[in-house]
Amino acid sequence: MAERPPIEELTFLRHLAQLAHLALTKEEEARYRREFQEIVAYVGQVELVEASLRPLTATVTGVRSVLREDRVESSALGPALLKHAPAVQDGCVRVPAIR
Amino acid sequence: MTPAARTRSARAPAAAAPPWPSLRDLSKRLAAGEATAEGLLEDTLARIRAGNPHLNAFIHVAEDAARVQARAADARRARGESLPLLAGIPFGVKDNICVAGVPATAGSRILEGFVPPYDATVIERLKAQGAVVVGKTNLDEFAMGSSTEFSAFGATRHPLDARRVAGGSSGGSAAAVSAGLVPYALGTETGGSIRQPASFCGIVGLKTTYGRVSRYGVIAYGSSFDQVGPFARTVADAAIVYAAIAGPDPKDATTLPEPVSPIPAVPEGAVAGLRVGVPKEYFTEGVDPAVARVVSEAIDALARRGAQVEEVSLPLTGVALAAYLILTRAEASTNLARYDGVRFGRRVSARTLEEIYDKTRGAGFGPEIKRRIILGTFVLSAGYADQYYRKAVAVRQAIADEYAKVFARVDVLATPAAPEVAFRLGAKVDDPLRMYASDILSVPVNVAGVPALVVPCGSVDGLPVGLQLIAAQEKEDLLFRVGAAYERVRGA
Repeated sequence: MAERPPIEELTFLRHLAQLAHLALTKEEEARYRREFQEIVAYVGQVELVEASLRPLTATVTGVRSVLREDRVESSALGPALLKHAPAVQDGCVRVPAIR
Repeated sequence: MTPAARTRSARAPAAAAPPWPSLRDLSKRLAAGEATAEGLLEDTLARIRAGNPHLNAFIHVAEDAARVQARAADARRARGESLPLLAGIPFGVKDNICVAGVPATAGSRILEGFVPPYDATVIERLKAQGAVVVGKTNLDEFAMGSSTEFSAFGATRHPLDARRVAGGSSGGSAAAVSAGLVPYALGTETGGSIRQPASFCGIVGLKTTYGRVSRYGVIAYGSSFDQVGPFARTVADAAIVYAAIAGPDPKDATTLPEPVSPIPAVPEGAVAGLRVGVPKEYFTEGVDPAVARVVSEAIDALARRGAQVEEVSLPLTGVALAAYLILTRAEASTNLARYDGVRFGRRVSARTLEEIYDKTRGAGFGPEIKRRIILGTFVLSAGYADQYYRKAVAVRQAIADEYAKVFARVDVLATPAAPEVAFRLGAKVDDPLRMYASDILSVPVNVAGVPALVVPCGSVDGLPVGLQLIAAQEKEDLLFRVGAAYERVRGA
């Protein structure tokens, strides 16, 4: 795979889907290849703007450091959160082991 | 049936419920004992029973929980307590905002079975006032869409024309208020998802300054864009809800530290002498000339009342959507990584952990979600991140600077809220770029982080048109002032 393959190239699209942990059907692959070509061409407009890359800032209303006291607090939500897990064992969420 | 009669019956709205009084009037009636919270709730539930099957505005009606809240408000009043303005008044909540004990779907199948064990901060604040949560309203899946057609629970129909969309992604809340099911509702915005449906449905919608309202308990889409805001019938009502939900929150570090200044009872102030800028880029090709005309007339009405209207230019308006698409897809790909079948929601069982991820997400997400996640992954990937993501961040800052500069010259901007009126169901679902273009006049505001208010200002072929007012960061009070002044001019 070239270093910068076009998004509509199938192996690259599959690679992106794999990174995103998304299983795509053959129909979805064909559809997205068509659509992405168009969308990526459209968003490429940003290249034409004279705007230098500055240090990345997450927001435009100001980044602030918000701290609180480093103190352990217990949350009442623990058991409630565990109730939502599809599979639970001994107070832990259960998943297949990683081999 | 003649063709004309067939058309008439296809367009016929659900039997129109009488409009709700203003929130202030409702509150006075409750305080005077002329109405009870339980009575208001029963009225709301009746309206929903009559109108929702046709509109599909509500995904879930939390009848029992609502009755408990309504009775509690009535009991407090019966004890002689003086209650806040919103006490006992029912409202709708977009289904990407968590309400404890009420199922939250975010319009998706992947959250099947999920019932939040906690309230979002905005819900906590409204409940503290005694407000009554009636139910969860429909939305495009994970708030990703401009028509509510991408909901896993079916589209929401336009209250005035069943063949048309209510807008999106907060279509359910917009339709619920427009059709008189509830007096107000909460929506969210990432890129126009309150303002475009407000414009389509002929009601008031507010997008706050980024950080003005807490995102704690709001199911995340684009974290540097998402904001909760009200839909209401009037500017005064929207201002009341805003004042109740806005303000710093220690649970959301992106909230602005300044407290919200109290909003006057009825937003006051003349527009005489106020400088209103009209950005020419908001009236160019891509905007329906009939819509542009209606909005221009609204701006002329403000001028006749003494507003100083002048043309301004925001040259980066045309590229805002491109920057927005890159940034929100990048953030969405990160935010939606948590839906992996492990800790909550649906899990497709499989042999390996990897397969659980792939299959759960493959089966649980709709096509627009997958589109956005993959595009987000693309713009963040090695070899492309500088060209797309980093450049989009730089363009974003340039757009924010452009707005800051224009607000040194004018107090507010006036523009159309949307380039069109409500379009037909199915018209854009298969054409992503055409769908995204429905927000060309709304997303620059999200990119710049500034607040904007939509006020209904007329119609084209019977379909509502919204006037958009934009102000500098943290200047919501100016928006309410000009919006209310326009309502008086229009004869609301």
